[in-house]
Amino acid sequence: MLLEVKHLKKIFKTRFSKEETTALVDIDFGVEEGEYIAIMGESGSGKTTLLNILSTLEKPTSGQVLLNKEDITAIKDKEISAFRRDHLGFVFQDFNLLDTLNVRDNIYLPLVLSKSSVELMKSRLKILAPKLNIENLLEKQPFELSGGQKQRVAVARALISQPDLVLADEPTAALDFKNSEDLLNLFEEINDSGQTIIMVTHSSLAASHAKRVLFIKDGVLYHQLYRGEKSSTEFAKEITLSMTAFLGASEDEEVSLNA
Amino acid sequence: MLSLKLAANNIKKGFKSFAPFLMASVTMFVMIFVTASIALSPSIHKLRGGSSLSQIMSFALIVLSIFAVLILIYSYRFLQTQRSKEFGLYDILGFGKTRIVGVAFLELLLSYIITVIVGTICGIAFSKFLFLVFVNMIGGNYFNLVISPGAIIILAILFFVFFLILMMIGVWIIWRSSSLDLLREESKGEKEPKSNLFFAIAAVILLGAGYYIALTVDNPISALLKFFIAVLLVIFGTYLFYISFTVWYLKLKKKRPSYYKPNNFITTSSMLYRMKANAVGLGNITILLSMTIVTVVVSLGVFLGTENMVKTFYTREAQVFSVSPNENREETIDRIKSAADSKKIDIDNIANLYYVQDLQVDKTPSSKDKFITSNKLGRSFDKDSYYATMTTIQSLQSLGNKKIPSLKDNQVLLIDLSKKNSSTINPKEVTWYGQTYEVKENLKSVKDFPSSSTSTISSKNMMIVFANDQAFEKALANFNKAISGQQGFENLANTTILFDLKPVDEKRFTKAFKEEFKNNKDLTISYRSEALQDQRAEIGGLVFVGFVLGISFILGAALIIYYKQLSEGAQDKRSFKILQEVGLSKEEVQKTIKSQVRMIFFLPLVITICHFAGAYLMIEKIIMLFDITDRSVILTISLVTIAILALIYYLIYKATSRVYYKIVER
Repeated sequence: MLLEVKHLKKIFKTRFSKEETTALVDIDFGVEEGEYIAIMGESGSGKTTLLNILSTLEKPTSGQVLLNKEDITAIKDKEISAFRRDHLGFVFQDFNLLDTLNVRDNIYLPLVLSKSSVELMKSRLKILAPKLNIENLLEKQPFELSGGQKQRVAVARALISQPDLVLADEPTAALDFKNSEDLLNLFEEINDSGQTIIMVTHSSLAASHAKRVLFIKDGVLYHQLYRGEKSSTEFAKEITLSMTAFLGASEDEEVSLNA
Repeated sequence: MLSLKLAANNIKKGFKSFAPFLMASVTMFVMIFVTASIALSPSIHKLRGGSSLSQIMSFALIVLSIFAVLILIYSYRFLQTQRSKEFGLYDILGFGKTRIVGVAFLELLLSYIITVIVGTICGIAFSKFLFLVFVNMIGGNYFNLVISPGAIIILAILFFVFFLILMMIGVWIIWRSSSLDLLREESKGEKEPKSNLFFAIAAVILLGAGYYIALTVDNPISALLKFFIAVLLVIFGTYLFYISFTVWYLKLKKKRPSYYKPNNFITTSSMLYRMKANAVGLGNITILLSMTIVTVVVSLGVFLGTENMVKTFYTREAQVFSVSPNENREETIDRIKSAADSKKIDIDNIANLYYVQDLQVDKTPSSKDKFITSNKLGRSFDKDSYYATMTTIQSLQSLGNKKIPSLKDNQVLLIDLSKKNSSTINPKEVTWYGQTYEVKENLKSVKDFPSSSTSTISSKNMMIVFANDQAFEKALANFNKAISGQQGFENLANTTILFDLKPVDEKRFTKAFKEEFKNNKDLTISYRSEALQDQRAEIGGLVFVGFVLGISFILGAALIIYYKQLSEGAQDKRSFKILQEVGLSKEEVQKTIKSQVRMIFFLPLVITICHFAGAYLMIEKIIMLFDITDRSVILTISLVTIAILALIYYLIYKATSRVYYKIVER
């Protein structure tokens, strides 16, 4: 087991009032090496909180996250940045490329921060660039790129440190249909070569490319689907069906309660 | 009317983004206002060197105006980028570009009115305040800074033109861009600046030419215009230097393998990224700092130098002086003593001198061992011309110079008082207008001999000491015989009696003195403390002007630094957030910020010191115009000024860095 999430609970307290918001009630799941998991949920379901905890950006109120048997919630603040850049790769919704660096240097960034040799950076990029189809973009500035190109660069940045786990936060949200499809296919390819990926999304289309989909609502994991041998189109239908089933059910409940 | 309401509302609500722009514009207004008030003040023509001073002030006005335009454009652009999203939204909501332009126009109009009113009030308050501080520091009202309505009108017109330029820029930005562009303006990237070899070379040439002119100027008055040209060349050179040279340097750094170290990586890339905007800011800071140093050094140098000069002339507190040939020194001393006794005033250190000063002597080219005068009048600044002082052994002894050898009638002592660096004379024989003397000894120096301003300004100076009054008079007669025809007057030997007394007794002594010497109108008495006061009255105004300008320049620099921190903080905020997400710890972020801030901190200071070094000779010459000849004084003032300025600059940076940290770390 690459990643084990055990009884994760997160309560937010506002500083000035005593009101508490429970974002995560009790999350429990495991991820095998080489898996590609999509976590689906509506806004406010707690999926972003979950991702933030997995990315060590936030600490849980209780519970554990084990990556390779190491409890990442217990890592000291001093070491957390180093841990993040050595073991995790990030792909963000709004790409988060640095305007001050050209594409090549943006990709090098995590390796530069962990003080790797220039030879290592070059050799890794040489392998990555053709895969991601960004060979011609390396000398450009981020603002010269289209959204799809930017996201491919961001993926390259996430992969160059050869992380144990790639975490993607709504990676297709800022992309059009064509670019989304390309990116998702790219994720599948990367996953096929053995890279473990966890992606948070609210789009069933995006989720349908994953091998497994976890559904989260009100801080609880309440359902999961395995893709198995299904095509992504078939799988997407299934995901949409389960979504409407669960969401519809909850809306019906509310309606009946009100009545 | 909706537009007006919207504009007024925008300023009120967006005060946070408007405040820096208004502050910049008001500060520039105050700076120029104070300068203009000084330039237009009638007192300026009463100052020594008044006409060249008003010329300098007009030049300062031009330079400041250029600055003001640059700074205003810079801060207006900054404001516009922040607000373009808002404008884009108006456009999309169907407000129309014409009306957006209308809003922008009304905003500028309101800003203009605020600037003129607040600027005038602050300007008056500021100049009055500085004036009070100054009067209390120096003691005495030497410069009447009248607030002239003329200055206000000129400033109002000038700023109207500036705002017109801003308006055109604003309209151009709004017209040129589609509403989507406006929406996106804030996040728009900028292409990495190219290291333009042409500009880099131009920068070096401009700086070189400017330095060359400044270093080779020999007569500061006639070359004032030349010096202005040098200053302009250096100003443009500085901007180009920052734009091209720094980009070239950073690019070079980027090519080295060490670029891929975490610290260099982030610092170099983000400095390179904003070098275009940075260059103008850094250039402005550098030039303002340079101007501050120059004005402060010149005015302090002139002030302290004149004090110094008075003190070298008055080696004792009081000086009684006559050029009448039939003065009996012993008798005069006795009568001075009795005058003092009659009022019970203590006087001591009495010395009496018999000498003549400021003779212009031309040396014929002759062997090293001989000093032969030609019968021509010496010319100032000629390499074979000396300013000579003739005196007697007795005078030196009377001043307390010990170990003076005794002389025969045909022997003299020679003292070379020339400045260092110029060749010294060390002859064995002097031929003084027809008569040859044996040089018994070449003395290194004499103490307490009053030196006149004329003789000290030239670099070649000598003193020739004769055995007794008769030998002295004979030699002087020979000089006058040869020279007076060319010079138009005869040089007269003067009898001077020096002594010390307490400054509080001066008035009473003057009275007793006048009583005692009722029948001898040839004798005049003067005091060191009085002379100092006269000097201050003459020089004080100039120092005040330097003081005001220095303070305004440093304020301007502070403003630009604040602006830089503010705008860069906003830019860097996102970068540092991304860096933290990718895996840069908070401490590392802070370390990078510090190194970045340090670099930007030191660069203008270093360049400023270079500029000052280049202008140093010229500054020295300007100060020397005011009869200050002690080079070590000028050097000390310069070093102290630089040290103090560096400290102030550091404090400003420290204070404004906080703004940056606050924005970045939020």
